[in-house]
Amino acid sequence: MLAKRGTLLVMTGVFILTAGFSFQNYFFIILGLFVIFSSVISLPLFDLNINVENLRVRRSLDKNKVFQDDFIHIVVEIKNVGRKRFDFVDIVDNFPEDYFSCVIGEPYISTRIDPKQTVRFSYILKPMIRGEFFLGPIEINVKDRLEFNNEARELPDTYTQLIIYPPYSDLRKLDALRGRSLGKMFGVHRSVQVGTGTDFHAIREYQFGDEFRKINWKATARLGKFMVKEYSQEKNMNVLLVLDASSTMGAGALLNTKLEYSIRAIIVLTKLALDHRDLVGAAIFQNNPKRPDDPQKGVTLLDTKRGNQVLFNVLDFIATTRSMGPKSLSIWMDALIKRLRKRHLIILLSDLESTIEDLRIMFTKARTRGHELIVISPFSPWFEVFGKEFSAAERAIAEAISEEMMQHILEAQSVARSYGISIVSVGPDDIIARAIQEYLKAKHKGKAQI
Amino acid sequence: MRRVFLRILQIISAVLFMALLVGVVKALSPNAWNILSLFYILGAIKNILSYGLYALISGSSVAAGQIFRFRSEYRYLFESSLEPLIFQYLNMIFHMTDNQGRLVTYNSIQQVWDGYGFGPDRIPGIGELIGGQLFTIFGQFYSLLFILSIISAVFNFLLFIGRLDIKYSLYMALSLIGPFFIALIPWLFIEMGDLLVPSIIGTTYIIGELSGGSIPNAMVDPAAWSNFKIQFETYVPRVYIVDQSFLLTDIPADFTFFTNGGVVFAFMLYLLLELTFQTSYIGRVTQPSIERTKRLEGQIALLGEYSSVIEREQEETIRAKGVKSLFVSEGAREKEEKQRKSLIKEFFTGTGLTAIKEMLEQREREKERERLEEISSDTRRLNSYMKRLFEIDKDAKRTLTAAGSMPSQKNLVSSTIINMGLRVILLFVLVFFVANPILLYTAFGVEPIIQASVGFQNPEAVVTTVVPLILLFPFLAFLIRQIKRYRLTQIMLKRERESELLQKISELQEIEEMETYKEEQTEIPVSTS
Repeated sequence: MLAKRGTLLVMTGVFILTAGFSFQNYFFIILGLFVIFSSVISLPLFDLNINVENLRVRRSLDKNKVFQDDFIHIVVEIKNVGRKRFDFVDIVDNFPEDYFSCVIGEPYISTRIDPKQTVRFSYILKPMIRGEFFLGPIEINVKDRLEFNNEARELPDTYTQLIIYPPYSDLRKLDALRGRSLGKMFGVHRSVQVGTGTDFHAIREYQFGDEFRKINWKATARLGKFMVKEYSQEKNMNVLLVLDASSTMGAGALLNTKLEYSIRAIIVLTKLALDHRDLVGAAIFQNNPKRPDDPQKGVTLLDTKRGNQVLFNVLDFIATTRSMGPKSLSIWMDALIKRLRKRHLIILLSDLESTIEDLRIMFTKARTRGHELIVISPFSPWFEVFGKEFSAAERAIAEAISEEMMQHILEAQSVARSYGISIVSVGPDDIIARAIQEYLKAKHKGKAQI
Repeated sequence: MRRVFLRILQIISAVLFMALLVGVVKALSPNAWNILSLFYILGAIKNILSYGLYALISGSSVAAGQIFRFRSEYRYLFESSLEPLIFQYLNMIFHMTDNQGRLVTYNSIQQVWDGYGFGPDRIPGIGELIGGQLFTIFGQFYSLLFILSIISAVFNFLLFIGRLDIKYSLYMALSLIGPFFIALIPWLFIEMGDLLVPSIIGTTYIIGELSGGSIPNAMVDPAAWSNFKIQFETYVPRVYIVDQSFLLTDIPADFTFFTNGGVVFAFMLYLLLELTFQTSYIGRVTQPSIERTKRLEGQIALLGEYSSVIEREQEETIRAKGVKSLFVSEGAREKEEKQRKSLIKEFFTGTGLTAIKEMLEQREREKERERLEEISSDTRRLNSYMKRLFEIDKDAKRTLTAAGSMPSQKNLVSSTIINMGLRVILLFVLVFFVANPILLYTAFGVEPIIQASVGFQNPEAVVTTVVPLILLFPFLAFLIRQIKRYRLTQIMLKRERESELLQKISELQEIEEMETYKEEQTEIPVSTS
């Protein structure tokens, strides 16, 4: 097809030609003919020579899974497998601009590709939000050398999946703080079972019933009374981090939702629990409207495990979560408990925007099988009010809603207390710190030990 | 080195442009290049202002005098001597001339509006004088258009050289042929008027009346038209195309076609256009790669520079305040915690949204500091990522700058010369045949009697060959595209069928495997028992 430039040239030619007819002047006629023909003469040749199928385009990434604050190097390779050259090709590699920013390089190129030639260009992207994204499509616009004719096409199957994990900065801070303020607590808060195991714990005075083989003769000689060696064993917990991913968790500014902060808290808790040699698992509570007959009743579970790979398993498991669907906390908890075979420390991150009765059933279900439940509850107004300017009426409404929510949380806390469950109401500033505190507290108390 | 060819093409274009420029200047009569027109225009504007001012002062003075006269006891004195006094005074101040250079003076307000005298000695009124000056401006502006057109051509050519945008070369070409248009168009309209105005007399009066005067009289009234023509010819200088080869009304059907000045000029102008198109192409193909390389290298260098500055600053801070400065001090942390707790307490004890607002304001204050910290952290991390990337992937710098995407000089030169040569030859032949339709008629066996008809002797006869030929190219392109699309669809269908077949085979294999498995399962108890 004639491109904009070609059309412009034809129009100019027609104008000159018409002037030639008006003036009865062959100079203008000949010039007009030159101009018109120069723009259309290459049309058939262009269509004959150009086979976009001969351009093989490939996108490669240095990694398909990346942390939110990391960078990705994307290389696009275009190879002309045909025998004809492409005089001018514009190649644009599209990416979701709302979620990524191109920090170095350019995601497009304008060039000429000779037969059998390969052209490569690359750029570096920085993800701005966690989730599952697709890079692409790649668009190609082939033009003739004078840009009179062009053929634009979107290449099929040029999408690449990319999973963006939550920011690593929280984990980095955790690492940085280890050995400083938090480090002091690490040692103190190890849950140990004294009397069994092989780790030396202390020397104490002999008591009736102690095995003779445990007597420490050196200490006995030194102190003049029977002393025995005491051994201890560190006990581990099954920590299950549960995320409520219902629609209410996604309210607020894009990077400031309760869900985003809850996910960040879960990642930090995973790392912390793994460092404490606990078994860590995760679960997502979500009713997908597209799957009304879900046999799992909206509960997706990642079994508790130990090891270096667990952090990445949790990251994979949780990174692509988006908030959706209604909330049914009691049903979810029931379904979850039925699938757990051992005692767990369940840390639930939910805004608890459900009825008190529903919460009561949930607490009952959680406690009946001896699980320990800690609820970290992001308090909605702290998240949703952020960055918003209110009119007087809106302010009054927001205040009324906040008061109502506050009453709801206070009531939920009072109900939970009767089950021995703690609900911690948190804001964006302290959600991670409070989650760490609650975990360490539970660890210290030796809750839900295996 | 890679841009040498581009420079050569630019130089050739510049030489060709200069030759064409000389050709245009020589083709028109010398009065086309009258730079004094600008001063005539300025003089006419000055005259209009003078006439206006004269009329305004005289009019307002006389009007004021008249008003004063009615209220005065000395009205007889004013009546007899006020007006002559005003004009005597004004004639002393103003030195006005008409179009013929005669000194213009008035003695009464009546003379100012209507003029005075008869025949060739008549002094026109101010209105007529202003009209005359407007005509002068129009005529001189018309004269100036030739120079402006040439200036525009030069300006657009320079713009093209700088920006390599084909748009400017098109403007340049139009500006180069502009003087021919300007020389011919007014007289074409005059000729059209001569043809049309007398023929529509009678109805034109009615049209004029019906339109309530919105159609100018000159367009409908033969007398007014001839008056307008006289005025037009008086004030608008006629510029002639002196080179007769530009006024071709018959096209030579033999080889003299190739030597005719007008044809050669048109061909050279097209050649210049083609050269600029090719130059633009080379620029478009090579420039992005060069600019990208420059930009990227600059970015990487800047990144390294900023990153080292940030690291240095951080080291200095550590040295000055100790490692603790990197983290919030325990005291500050405790203070913050206390503040937060008190806010939460306030909230839960009924202060409501105010507590949230306070907390958010506090966050806002910290936001700027956090943002700056984030930027510096991002810069450092990006720099270390780049370093790592360049270590791991040796080709990364090359792909980022797309240095390998620049076409080879050799290929570029050969393809440009071949492409341009073929296009020029083909176009020249095509234009020759289209401009001489008789040759094509003979070739296609059109009856001689039809060939000899008056219609086919006119330049418009070109349309009979140009329209089908111009449409032929897109049609051919359309045909080729359809054939290619059909082939592509066939290939896709074949692939689809193949994949369906493969899927069926794999399904059958699965069923077979399942059946085998079931058979084995049923056989096991038998064999074990």
